[in-house]
Amino acid sequence: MKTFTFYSYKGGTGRSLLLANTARYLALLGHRVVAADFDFEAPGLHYKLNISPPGQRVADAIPERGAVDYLLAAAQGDRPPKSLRPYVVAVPLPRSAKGSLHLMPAGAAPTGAYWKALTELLRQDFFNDPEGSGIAACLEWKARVEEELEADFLLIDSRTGVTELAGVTTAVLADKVVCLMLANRESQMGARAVLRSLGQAARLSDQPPIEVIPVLSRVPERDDGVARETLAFLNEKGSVPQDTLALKKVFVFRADPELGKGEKLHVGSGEAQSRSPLHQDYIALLAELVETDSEKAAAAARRQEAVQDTRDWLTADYEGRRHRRIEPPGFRAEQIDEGIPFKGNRYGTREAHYADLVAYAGEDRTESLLVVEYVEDLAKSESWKWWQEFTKLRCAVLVGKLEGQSTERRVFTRGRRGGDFIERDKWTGAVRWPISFSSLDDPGDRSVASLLAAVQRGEDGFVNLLVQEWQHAMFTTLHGGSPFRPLLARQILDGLAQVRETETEKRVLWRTAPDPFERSDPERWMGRHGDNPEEMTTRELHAPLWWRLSVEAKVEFWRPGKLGGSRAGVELLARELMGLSLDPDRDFRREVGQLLGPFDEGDDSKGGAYRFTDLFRGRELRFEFSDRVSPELIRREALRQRLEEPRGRRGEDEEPWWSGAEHIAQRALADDRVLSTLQRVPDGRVSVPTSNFLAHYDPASAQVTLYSKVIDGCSRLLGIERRALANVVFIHETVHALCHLGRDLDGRRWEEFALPSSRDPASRPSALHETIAQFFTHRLITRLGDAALLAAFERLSDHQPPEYQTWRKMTDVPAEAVRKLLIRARAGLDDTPWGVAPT
Amino acid sequence: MSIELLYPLVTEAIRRAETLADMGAPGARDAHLEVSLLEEKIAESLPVSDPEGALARRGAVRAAIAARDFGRVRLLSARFLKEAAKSPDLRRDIADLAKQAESAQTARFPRATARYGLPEIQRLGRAFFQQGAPFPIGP
Repeated sequence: MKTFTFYSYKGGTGRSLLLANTARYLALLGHRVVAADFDFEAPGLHYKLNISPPGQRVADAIPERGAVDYLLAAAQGDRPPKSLRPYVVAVPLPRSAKGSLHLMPAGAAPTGAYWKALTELLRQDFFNDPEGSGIAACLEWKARVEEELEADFLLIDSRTGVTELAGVTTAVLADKVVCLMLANRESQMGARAVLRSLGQAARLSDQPPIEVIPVLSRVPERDDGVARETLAFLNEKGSVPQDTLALKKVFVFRADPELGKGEKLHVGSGEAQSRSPLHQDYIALLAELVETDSEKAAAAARRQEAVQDTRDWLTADYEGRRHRRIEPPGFRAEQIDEGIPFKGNRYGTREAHYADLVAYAGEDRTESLLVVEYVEDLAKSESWKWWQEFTKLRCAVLVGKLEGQSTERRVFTRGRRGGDFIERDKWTGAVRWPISFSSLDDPGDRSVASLLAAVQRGEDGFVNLLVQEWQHAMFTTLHGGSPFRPLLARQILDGLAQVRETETEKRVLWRTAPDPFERSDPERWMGRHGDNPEEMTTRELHAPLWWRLSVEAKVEFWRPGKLGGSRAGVELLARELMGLSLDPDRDFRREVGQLLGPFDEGDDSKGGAYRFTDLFRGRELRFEFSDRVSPELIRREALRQRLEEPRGRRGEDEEPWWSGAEHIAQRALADDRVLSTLQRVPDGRVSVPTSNFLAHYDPASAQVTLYSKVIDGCSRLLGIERRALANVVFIHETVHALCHLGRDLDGRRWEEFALPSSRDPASRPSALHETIAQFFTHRLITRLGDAALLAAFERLSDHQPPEYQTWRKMTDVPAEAVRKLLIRARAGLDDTPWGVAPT
Repeated sequence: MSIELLYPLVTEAIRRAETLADMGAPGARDAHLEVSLLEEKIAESLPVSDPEGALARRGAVRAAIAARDFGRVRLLSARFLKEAAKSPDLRRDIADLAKQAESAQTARFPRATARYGLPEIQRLGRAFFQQGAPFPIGP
């Protein structure tokens, strides 16, 4: 058995890490290795060698006992402890590794029991006994390591500084001492003093002289000059001849920023960055320490590179979430652990399978998401079957690598409910990554916030889940249901309202709208006493979302006659706030029924209502976007031209008075300076009416037109978010449309209550119409509770004509009173309060 | 210190050491060492030919063994063996006790003593101790 002691005069040299890497490397090469943590005052080798069981963080893995307990028992007892086994733990290694690695930790550090045991051991002054009891105990221990554990190599992590235990572990126990130091005089002076003394230290008579390997660690970059200087300093002539060292080489370890983060660079296990300069330095030192079998070393290197490549592949930061559907999930480095014996959790099996890498959900490591196993023969390996049979994992990756070739992988996945692994989708040939892998920041975090964040990024796969969550949070009734969680429901509603991608917005609207095919399914009627979650979802989720999502999404969704479309959003405004009804289908049936009645009494087959549908479709409320210039802009430009024209130039002609202005006004769509001019009325004030300027409702065609470019320009000039401004305009014009098209609840229509034409040169906004529109716009926005919409509405109002300001006086007026105003105005009664009257 | 004063002290020390040893108390070793010291003092006051003197010498070595202070066992044994040149019984007893101490040490570290020999380990221990520091760092 060869014994290497890793020593440093000062701490922070990476000593324990080097020992851990050396131990693993030797074990992977087929040697039986024992690593012992004799850094009693600051033990930590068990962290470096990761003895934590799966599902447990490394930091939580505290050994039961170790070297301190062994030596204390030896110091206090008349006989040595019966066996070394209780004091060592086996460190997991890949199945293909022929060697073994045992760790004798310092003890149950950092528990109180450990420190008490250590204090007791030190109190015995065991290692300072002139009869050599402490030395004898250490020699006994070393002999037992060789005999009981049959170790080929014993690696000892020594205490720093000058202590009795450091003296024993270096001068008495070691065949070779690896002495680490930093590139500063403080560290090197101490190291040189100790190295000089080792040549004269007391040793057993048959022990050969100690071989010393100096290592200069954490050097910022490759610098042979530093190595030469250090070597010259160490070999400087001593005060007595025997003090002078004759070292031939100083090994240099370069600093690695990655190492500083986790201290997990494990040579030979795939944890090392094979292209890292530090890794190359490690390999050079290991070659010096032990004579390695070239084939075994090559195999270990292949494994290391394959697993490291896979680690890089799993943690790569892929740009663009859409691509992640075909790429592996971008795990964070801290989510991945290595060298884990994974215990099966099915059919009562206790068998463990070695995983080269395990990706966990989050950092608490309670849920394993994916495993990576290196196999020698990737094509023929059926190792994935174990993962399929004995675990509930959704993803297993087998990796392999042939000499001189790139790393190959086979990815096996399955659904959330388990079943057999699928290697490739049979249609696309692509890996079917679980959606949580591809869409969530943290695949294990399925909280509402995480799902909402994914949906807001455009991952629409979680919309269904969020709607279900919302239903569970809301579906509570006087007679039962699930627990009422209004804050969660509000979080979901607000989160979905933040979706920005039109396709995802449409998906949200489709999912929340009632499905005409499933409404008759009794299974969908979950509640008692007629409570229907579908209806509630439509009313409480879909309708508010319809108003809050972008106008582009709503207009796309609002396609008259389109199957699955819903008028629930408009009904929220029409029925709940304005007390009106808008149901063109019902109007059509009723009115055509009246038409057909006298002619086809008793025989429906002769005069199908479909013959009249085209006549009635024209009366449906429609929305459209227009890139054209709005009528009010043309009117203002025409007036401006008149003001600037020389007197008497214009004669009598056939063209409308505004002809010629449209072309000029069109420039405002491309030039904000022109638009800014046209935003102003002759007295210089900015005046941006909603109707006819930003949008227009045409009573003849029942169509609301949104002037996209004018809205864009005004949002820039007025500093209002474009999406919110468009929504405010949309709501305002929809109120106008409802005032015109909406029926009273008794079914009466007042089609003559329409906005006046804007072609009049003296056109002014209708105070009555705009007051009603602004009032209900404000009420709806307040009802929606959308701060962005409210801010946009108020800011726009600040720049609008006085007719648009009346709502400010009416914030405490009940909606019922304004509804009454609307009804009376439609009936032609002019006793209207608040200073507004029909124009 | 007069012998009259030492007798009650050693009697009390023996009683305390035995009690502590029975209890398995951590102070038992120190108590045995105290006994050994008192017995040594008595031995210095009484010749080997005196039965009390022989008894004190045996007691000093035995108590040192109980205290597991084998360095002291070795020193006392060597001295008492010299003194007991004309007392074969005492020589035999002291030699037996020295062997007993060696066996105890061998039993504590069977593999180490088998490999390197107890004297070699003791030599190393003494050398290590005499370095005066964990590392023999020069001036």
